[in-house]
Amino acid sequence: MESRIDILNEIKALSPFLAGIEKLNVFTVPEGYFNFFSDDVLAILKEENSNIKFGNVIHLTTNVPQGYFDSLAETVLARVKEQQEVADLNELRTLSPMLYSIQNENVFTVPQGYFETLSDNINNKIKPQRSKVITIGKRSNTFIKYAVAAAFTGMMALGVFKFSGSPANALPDYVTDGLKSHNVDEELLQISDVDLIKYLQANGENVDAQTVANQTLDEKDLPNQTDYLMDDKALDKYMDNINTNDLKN
Amino acid sequence: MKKYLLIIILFLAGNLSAVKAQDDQTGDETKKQEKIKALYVAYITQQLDLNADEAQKFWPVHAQFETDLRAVKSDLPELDKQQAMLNIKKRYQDNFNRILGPKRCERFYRMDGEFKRKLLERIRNQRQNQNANRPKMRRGF
Repeated sequence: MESRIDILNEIKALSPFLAGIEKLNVFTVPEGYFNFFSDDVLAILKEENSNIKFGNVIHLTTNVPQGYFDSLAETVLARVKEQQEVADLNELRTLSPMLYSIQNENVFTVPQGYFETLSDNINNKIKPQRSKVITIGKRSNTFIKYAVAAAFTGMMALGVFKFSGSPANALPDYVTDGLKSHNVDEELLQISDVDLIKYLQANGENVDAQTVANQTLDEKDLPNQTDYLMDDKALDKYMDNINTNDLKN
Repeated sequence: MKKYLLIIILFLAGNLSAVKAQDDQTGDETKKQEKIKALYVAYITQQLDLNADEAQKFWPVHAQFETDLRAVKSDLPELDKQQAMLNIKKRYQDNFNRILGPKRCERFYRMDGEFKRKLLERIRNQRQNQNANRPKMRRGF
């Protein structure tokens, strides 16, 4: 209660007029006024402005360009953004001129379609390396190893056999053969003229001349048919002639 | 790696077969010549009555002797050729003397020529026998 008195005193000091007014509600409404107030207002509005719709209020402002409201939100946002960006840039400028000079650009560039072929490129680069990998211990490998070892051993054995020759004191093959028992005359008959001639020629004998000469002599000196008629001893004479020739050789 | 090994193996195999082929080609010829040489050895051994020990010493020297004789060029003038061969024969005389003794050394040189004459005779006889229309012959020897 005391506080109400204080307030009253203060009001008196400030405005005697206000203090002089009694504490009464000067506005009065008939009973139940607000119960039907909203209905009454609506009824009145409908009655007085039946031709007015709320949408028409906007329609009436004719100086708005068409489609203005379609993009209104976006333009507003864009403008806000722009402002913000400018503000950001300005802030950045004061804080770090270096960063400001870079601006908002992406300083990293790649050729067109770089990332589309990137994985393929990497795979291609990896693949050849993979082909160099040598697997060890496969069965085919060991087989080849043994085959090569066998081949080389064979070669060496053959080489030793072929090129080392016989021991120093061993006789040549033809000598060992010759030291066995032979019937020389018999076996000479089994050897062809050609081979005998080759042998003699290899030993510096002038065989061709001798044998050919011998043969031509034979043909030439053979008694012909008339000789036999003239002399029945013609053949014997001829034979004697040959024998002496042979002995001369 | 496998490829290389395969190539090496094939190469060696090829080499081997080539060598063998060559052997086969010349082998037949040398075989026949070796046969005649063997008969020569048999003939000389019989004629000189060589025992095993002497043969062991004699034939290696003789092989060298023969190689030297065969090295004389066949297209030399006849007398030069004979002279060259004679020089070689004289060069080996001491060697053969030591192994065979002077008497059989003499005989060796004679029998060496005798064998060649034997061959010539054999060639001649063959030719005469081949002549079908020839009258029956008395053998020369």
